[in-house]
Amino acid sequence: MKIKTKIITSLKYICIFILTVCITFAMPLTAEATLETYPEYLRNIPVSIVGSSEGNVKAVDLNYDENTYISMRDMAELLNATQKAFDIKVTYNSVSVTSGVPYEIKGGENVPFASNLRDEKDDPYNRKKNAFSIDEKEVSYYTIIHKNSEGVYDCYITPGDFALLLDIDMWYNGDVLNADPDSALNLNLKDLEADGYFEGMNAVLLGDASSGEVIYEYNGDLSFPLASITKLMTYAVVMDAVTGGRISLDTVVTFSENVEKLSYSVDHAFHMQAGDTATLEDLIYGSLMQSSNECSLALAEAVSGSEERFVEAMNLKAAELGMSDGTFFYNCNGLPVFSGGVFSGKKQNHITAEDLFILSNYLLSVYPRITEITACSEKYLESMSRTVMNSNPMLKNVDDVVGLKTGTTNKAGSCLVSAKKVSVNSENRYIVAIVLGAEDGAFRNNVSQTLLSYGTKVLQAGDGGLLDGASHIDGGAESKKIPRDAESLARLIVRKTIK
Amino acid sequence: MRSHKFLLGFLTIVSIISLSVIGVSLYYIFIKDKSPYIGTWVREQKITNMVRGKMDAWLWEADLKIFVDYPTDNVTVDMIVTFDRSGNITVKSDKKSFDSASEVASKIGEAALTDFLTKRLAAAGTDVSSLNTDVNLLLEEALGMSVAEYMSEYGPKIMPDAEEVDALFAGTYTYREEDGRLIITDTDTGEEKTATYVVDDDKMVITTGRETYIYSKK
Repeated sequence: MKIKTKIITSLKYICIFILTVCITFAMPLTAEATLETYPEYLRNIPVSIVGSSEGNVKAVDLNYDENTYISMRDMAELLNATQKAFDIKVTYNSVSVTSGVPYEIKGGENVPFASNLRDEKDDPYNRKKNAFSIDEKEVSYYTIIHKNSEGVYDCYITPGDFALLLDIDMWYNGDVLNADPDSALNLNLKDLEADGYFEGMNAVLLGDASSGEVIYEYNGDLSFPLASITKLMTYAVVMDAVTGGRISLDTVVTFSENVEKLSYSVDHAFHMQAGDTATLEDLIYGSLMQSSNECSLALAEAVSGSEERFVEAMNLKAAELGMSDGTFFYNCNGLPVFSGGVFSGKKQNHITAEDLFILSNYLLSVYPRITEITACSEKYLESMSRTVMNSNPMLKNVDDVVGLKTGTTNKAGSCLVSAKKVSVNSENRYIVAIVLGAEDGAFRNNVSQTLLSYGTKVLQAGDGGLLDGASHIDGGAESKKIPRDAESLARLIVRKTIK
Repeated sequence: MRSHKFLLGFLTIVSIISLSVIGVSLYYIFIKDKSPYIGTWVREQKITNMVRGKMDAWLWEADLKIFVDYPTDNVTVDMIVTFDRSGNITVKSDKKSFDSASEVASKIGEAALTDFLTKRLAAAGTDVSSLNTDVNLLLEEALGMSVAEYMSEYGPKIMPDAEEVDALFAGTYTYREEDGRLIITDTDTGEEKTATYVVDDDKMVITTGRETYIYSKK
């Protein structure tokens, strides 16, 4: 009996041992199988610096193939003896670039990744809007900060943002990334479109606001949600009331309960109590700079008595400006509107990029003071005892940007309409770049900056002339479409006069 | 012999009767006084309101309903009116008169479109005079054509055709004369009107009390 018990106990221990061994050896196999399912997202890209050196830069494909971020330290080392030399200082959450100075070697530069796969123990490569400055000027870029093999913090940025940052011409030749430090960024929107650059956007438009000419458009006549860019139309209607003498910028507006309620909703910028007051002008700043929905509602109620009547005025204004049927408004601030009822649907204000160009041109020509507001980074609103900040990233990234408005909802995506002053033969002209429906802020910013860069060079090429290799995309399309009805004809003529 | 005479006599009588009948007929047709209104006449018919109405219908499809200022020109076509001896009157448009009428209608349309676009610009906050240009030049710049060219090629059809004019103004009537007045009856509606008439050389004026028609001999 005793022997039997001992045998059974021994067998138990043997089973446990075998099981433990099996589990111990199975885990790495499992892990290895799991690793094999990770995409290869660390790679080394061959780089050729025209007229200088060649090498390899480390690159991270963030989550997807070709969503590539390249090492700035590796690029700095390769560009060291060129016109585009720069130094970079990177901490765990900030990047500082100084252009035109030699790069100070820190270690790990151009040392390729040892493996395509990220070490399990390694920190993830996370993209963030880290603090970023160039020549002590704050700019806004989405970057990845990660230590290299020598433990030195490195910054990874997309090649496109890198090219825009340093204004350096870059292109792929097969798998080799080329950079020409002696050549400014040379964009060709036609080629970009053919490569699918704009397919991630709902619509894109670049125009010369001074002449009313559309330089480039992608889906320009299609209707899409515009989110808070709505507030530009709100501003137009408010200013019509001001210039018409019905209200003044100094008018003291008392907040209603509707305004208070909105200011406590999930989409508020700041809280506003019913019965409190602010000047019309401060509400305008709050609406345009901080994109405050409650300020917009207070403006609408002050001008028209109710938001419903104000929205009627917005839609009428759209018709007066010659906008298409693809532009319509349900509210004054761009928030989603629920239809109510048992089955409540969600509606949003819509606009076409062409119509947004019309509105932008109208504001720049009829109410140019808007740029004092939209170009302002920070403003203290005395009547509201608060400071508002401007959310437009182009104000930081591009010189001479004067506005105009961001907009974001889930359905609208990331939207931005930017206006930039361009000096042409001692004359100040404006270009307008519109991006509707980018997947995120990073894409929106990159496309906006690309358009502004291209537009600047187009205007400076002289007489609205185009850069070599580029051509008007859909330019002149208006002249090929003969409107057959009175409304379309009227809108066409009105558009021609908005400069 | 006797049969020859009989034949000769018979033929003579028939000839006399035939000649008499012919003579009397000729007398009634050409010699006896006929009523002065018998014959074919022409009168002008104004169709200006038809033209303006068609232009308004096109303009008012726009979102903003704008009352345009029309020029005072009138668009007129000729109506051919025939009085026959049997007591019938027919009224029908003269297609040859539509060409000149069409030119006037075109001018009206161009003026209306110009006024419409000017007022739309004003509604958008743009005074045409401040642009240092006019609507014609704006259209040239936008579409490469003048207002006249646009109306001709792509604008609405505002000149009515003969069928449309006849639908409103053509018709058939009967008439009879009583105590020097004409009693005219519309054969479609049966409506009866009493009219006075005055014929002087090649002109005729028929007045029904409220309406006066001036005819010229065709």
